[in-house]
Amino acid sequence: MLMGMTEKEDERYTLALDIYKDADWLHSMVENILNLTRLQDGKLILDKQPEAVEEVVGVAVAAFSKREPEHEIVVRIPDEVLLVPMDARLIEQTLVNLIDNAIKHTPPNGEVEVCVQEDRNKASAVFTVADRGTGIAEEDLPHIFEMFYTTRTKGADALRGVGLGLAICKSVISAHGGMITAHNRHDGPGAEFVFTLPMEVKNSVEQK
Amino acid sequence: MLNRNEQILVVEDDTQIRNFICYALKQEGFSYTTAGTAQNALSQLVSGQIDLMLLDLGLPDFDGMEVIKKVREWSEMPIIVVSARDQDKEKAAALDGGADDYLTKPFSAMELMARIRVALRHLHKIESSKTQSILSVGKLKIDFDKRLIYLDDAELHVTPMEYDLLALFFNNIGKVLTTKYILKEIYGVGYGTDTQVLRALMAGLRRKIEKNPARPRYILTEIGVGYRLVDE
Repeated sequence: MLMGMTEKEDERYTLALDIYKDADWLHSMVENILNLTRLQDGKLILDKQPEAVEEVVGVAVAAFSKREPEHEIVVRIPDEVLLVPMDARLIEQTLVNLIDNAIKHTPPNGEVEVCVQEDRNKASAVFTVADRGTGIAEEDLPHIFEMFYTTRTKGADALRGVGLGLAICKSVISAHGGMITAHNRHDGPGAEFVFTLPMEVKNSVEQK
Repeated sequence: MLNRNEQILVVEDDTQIRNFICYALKQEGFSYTTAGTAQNALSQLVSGQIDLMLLDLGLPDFDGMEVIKKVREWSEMPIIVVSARDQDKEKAAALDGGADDYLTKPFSAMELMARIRVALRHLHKIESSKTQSILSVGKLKIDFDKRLIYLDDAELHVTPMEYDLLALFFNNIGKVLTTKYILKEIYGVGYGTDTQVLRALMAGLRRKIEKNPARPRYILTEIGVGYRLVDE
């Protein structure tokens, strides 16, 4: 509201923008923490429904067009609709965390890529979030999904992370029966985060 | 600053949010009244002339659903519910129970005004009972008389079900439609929870009207709730 009342050149606009961004970040972090503790306590019940991957990706990416217009997010999805059983809210949160991470490690005007494909052999959907940053240091790779683990990257934004975003991603994906991994890209600089979601909801009680 | 005729009732027990909403309404020239409890809201609704209600779902005394149910016994006034981010089921239930739209905290003054504008537009449409045979949003156009869809002025081939779906959205421009509501309107009462069939239909339609199905311009997904055809 304050931003709507001030001219962009007015220094109060920048201050209001900073407050908005910080409040937004704080809100996201609180939500992350709540989901993480609920998942770990086994108290979060996944609401799994068949969802169109393009919708979940679309909503996650749309959250950034408001916040970060200077980064380009490229999305690649299959031509045919891919319906995957998932808790849409939690997978959206997972994608938001991964995209946020990618943006933080990408220089301005750098591209972040979100890609979804079906892996027919293993009957799962494969999601990839890739950036063109400096990549992940070798010593960090085995720890990157641990709670509170933060990497010693340069830049002001590194100070804002408390190391929970990736931990929640791992909890959510594991709860879905999927897997999440990270590695450095082979075709140039940057990191790639890949997670899978099983296409079939494995339920030992009802066997169709 | 336009002086509008509508009287808005703001039902919100959180003082700061209530103040924020009232300030935003005042800026836009709306007259409003407030209530911090469902009891207070109901007594105002019964005695006063309220045209639109903003209703927080987390009230201290009554469940917001009860308020909606009661109001809908005698009024078709637009109801916009306000709720927290992780209350998708409550939002959907409120919408299916008679609310017209929702806002998720925290929301901006811009979002608030956008929702109110859409709600009032539909209210005036119903009151005037004037129906237009051609409506358009961006480059997407519908001709109700001819039962045709146009994209960028070229006729777009759609299946009968896709047409029905677009007609439903065009009759509710800017308003959220829950998955359950859409299923009922397009497929009939028996399809209650089969979201899969709707997701597939939406995906097919999206591929026809959107340049990039993963970055839609027309029909946006509202996770956990439903879909919305947006004007701007």
